Amino acid sequence: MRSFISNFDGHERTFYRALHHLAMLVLVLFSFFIVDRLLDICFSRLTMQSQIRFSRLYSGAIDADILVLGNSRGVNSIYTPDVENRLGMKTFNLSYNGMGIVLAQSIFEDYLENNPAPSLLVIEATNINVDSKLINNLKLYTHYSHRLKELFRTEYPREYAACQLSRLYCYNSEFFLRVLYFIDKNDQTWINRHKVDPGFVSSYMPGPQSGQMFAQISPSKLNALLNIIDLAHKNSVEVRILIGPFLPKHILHIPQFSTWKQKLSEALPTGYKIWDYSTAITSNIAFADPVHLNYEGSRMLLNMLLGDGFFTTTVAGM
Amino acid sequence: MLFNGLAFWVFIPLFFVLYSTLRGNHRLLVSLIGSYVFYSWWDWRFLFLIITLTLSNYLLGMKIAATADTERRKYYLVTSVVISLGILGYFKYTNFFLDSFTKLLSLIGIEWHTGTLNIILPVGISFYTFQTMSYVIDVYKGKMPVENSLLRFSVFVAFFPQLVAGPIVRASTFIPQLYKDQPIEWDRMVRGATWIAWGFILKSVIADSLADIVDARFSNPGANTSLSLMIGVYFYAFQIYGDFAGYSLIAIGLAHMLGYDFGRNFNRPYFSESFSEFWRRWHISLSSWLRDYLYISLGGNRKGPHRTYANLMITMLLGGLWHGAAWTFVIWGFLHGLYLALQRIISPYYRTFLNVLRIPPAASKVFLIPFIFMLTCITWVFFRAASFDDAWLILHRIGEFNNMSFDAVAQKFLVVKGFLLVISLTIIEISSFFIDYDAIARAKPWLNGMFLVGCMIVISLFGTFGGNAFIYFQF
Repeated sequence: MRSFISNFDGHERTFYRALHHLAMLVLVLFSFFIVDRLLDICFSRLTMQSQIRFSRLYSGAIDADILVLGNSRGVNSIYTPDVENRLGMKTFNLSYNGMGIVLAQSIFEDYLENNPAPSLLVIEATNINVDSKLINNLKLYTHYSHRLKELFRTEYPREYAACQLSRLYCYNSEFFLRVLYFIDKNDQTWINRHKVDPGFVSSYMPGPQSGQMFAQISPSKLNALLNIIDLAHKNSVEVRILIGPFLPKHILHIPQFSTWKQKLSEALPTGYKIWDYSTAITSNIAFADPVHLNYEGSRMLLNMLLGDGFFTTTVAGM
Repeated sequence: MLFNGLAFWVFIPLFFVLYSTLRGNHRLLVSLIGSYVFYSWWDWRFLFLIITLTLSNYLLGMKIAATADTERRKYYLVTSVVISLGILGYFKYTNFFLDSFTKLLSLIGIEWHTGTLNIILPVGISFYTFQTMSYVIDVYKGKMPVENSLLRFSVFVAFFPQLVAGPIVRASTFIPQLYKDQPIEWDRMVRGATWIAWGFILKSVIADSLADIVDARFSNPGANTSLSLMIGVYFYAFQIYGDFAGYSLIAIGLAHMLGYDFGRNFNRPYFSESFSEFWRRWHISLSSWLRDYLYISLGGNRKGPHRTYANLMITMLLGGLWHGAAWTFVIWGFLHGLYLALQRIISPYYRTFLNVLRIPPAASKVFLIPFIFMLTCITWVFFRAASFDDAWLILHRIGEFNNMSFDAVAQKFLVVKGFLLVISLTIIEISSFFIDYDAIARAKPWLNGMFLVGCMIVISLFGTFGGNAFIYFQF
């Protein structure tokens, strides 16, 4: 009897100990869940308060006459404060490093849904061969856009699942640091300010991977560009397809470029043309690196664009 | 299988359930099968390599123990070392020596092209060969009894937490622990979990966040400014520390949860006041292995100063070569050997200098710690650079101070994030000199829970989950 009782006590003790340990585990997980959700609320508010371009897009705070879409070359080709000064038209640059055309389509659709349509859309077209990997950086906006959510789910299924488990994971990106940095700053003045090292230029030759970028145009990406043009047309937005300047030493050594440009040109709807400034600037001081202008370069380009009537909207985008 | 991969997180609960419910040889068998599955996930063919090393060292250990004849014992020891180093040499160094030999011949005007052999480097080979060698040497020296159970010995060789990237656990430390069924205790589980969590912070948050920045600089040094390269070099020092210390801590934590105690493998190495202290704090299981089985066997410091310097140099050169089959690793080892030898020469004068000027030793720390860290970072350049030319280019460009503007630094936001992470880690490590976090956690167990929640949040917010392999896998 005695041994039965002590045995029973032993089992009971083990049972309660196991229960206690289980409760501790659940408490740790529950605490994580609560902190995760509370921080998500704080961070989403910070995100929408930020002056960074996509936060302004989703808070509906943009009312631009000219909208620019592209990748980092778009960021560094069109300096919006200068365009506004010279043209007196409100200009907004929605380009972002690594933004491919498929993502740009979703961004443009979201733009039209949340903000008044611009009168002119500039697309820096070298983003046509860029993939949509940037969506992983922009995952914090999937709360506000079903298009981005879908793209994120398709491109990064595991990361998407992780975001469902931990909302904080949506803020795990370099982009969120930028969101915080631009919390009370306008990000439209963001442009390369440095100049490429002349020593580097003198010995520079583009690698074979530079040519691969222009090897072909994928049909889905071309389709995205055509969709943007079509959507713009439906919303009475004129479209300019721009190829910003490269360091001549870079682009002149990429034989695939001219074929790529011709194919793109042929694929555009009738009447649309490519405004090609790929070799328009030859001075090293205009470049931050072989494929990006700096502030000096953007000013040189702007002078050329103004001289060529690039922003004149009476010609109906052609 | 990577600790930071999905497969591992499926594997470990299954393994743990089986492991905790079985006893005796059944538990050892599950440990062995689990370890082999863990290793096979990478490439099952190399299991035969582990089995060969296990069988040969097990049998030769038995032979050594079975005879009192010194010559025969020595013969078995040499055979064992030749087999272990032969396997390591073939898989790791064949192409290196072929390539070096071809270049040497071309220097004297003989053109002889052998090409390179298509040899895959088995993951963790340097670790498990050193581990098995330590067993046979210890048995030979009578420092530990021979292990009669092949199953137990096989688990010692292949135990998955430390199989592929260490720590190099000595047979005298691990085998005795395999003799009894280690209890699965809640306190050990919690402590192990906190070490694992901190290991993941070091790996996924610190090392992997810095990896992109470092890779961009080392892959194209010519395109980076002095400041940018300087950042790359400093960040690499923390990347490799986070990566390897993180892996070690995860391995030690896992073993702790399973009931085994392995020693500490890293002890805040960048707070060393000398290079000898650095090597007592960095990769402790390797540096103590090299000290005990190589440096002391060569005579250590018992045969006069010149022989001591030579022994230090040989030990560090071979230590460098252990890390990788490339001359850059040899240079890295050479520089550390040089630092250690110079330190031996200079330190008496330095102590006299401090005494004459009545500078308290604590004050000299302010100078010594950054100085040792800086030299360590310069040496890391050779360790990380793809080639000797790249390493020189990086050091040359840093020395030029050609552009120190932060504006010209690429990946600015990631760099700022990197700095914040490195500063946070440094503050935590400094505080751990004054605060005994382990004692606090033992006194107030609920803090462990808070620590785990904190780690999960930090990993969620700052972790990098690209499935980056651990740097030390390649060694």
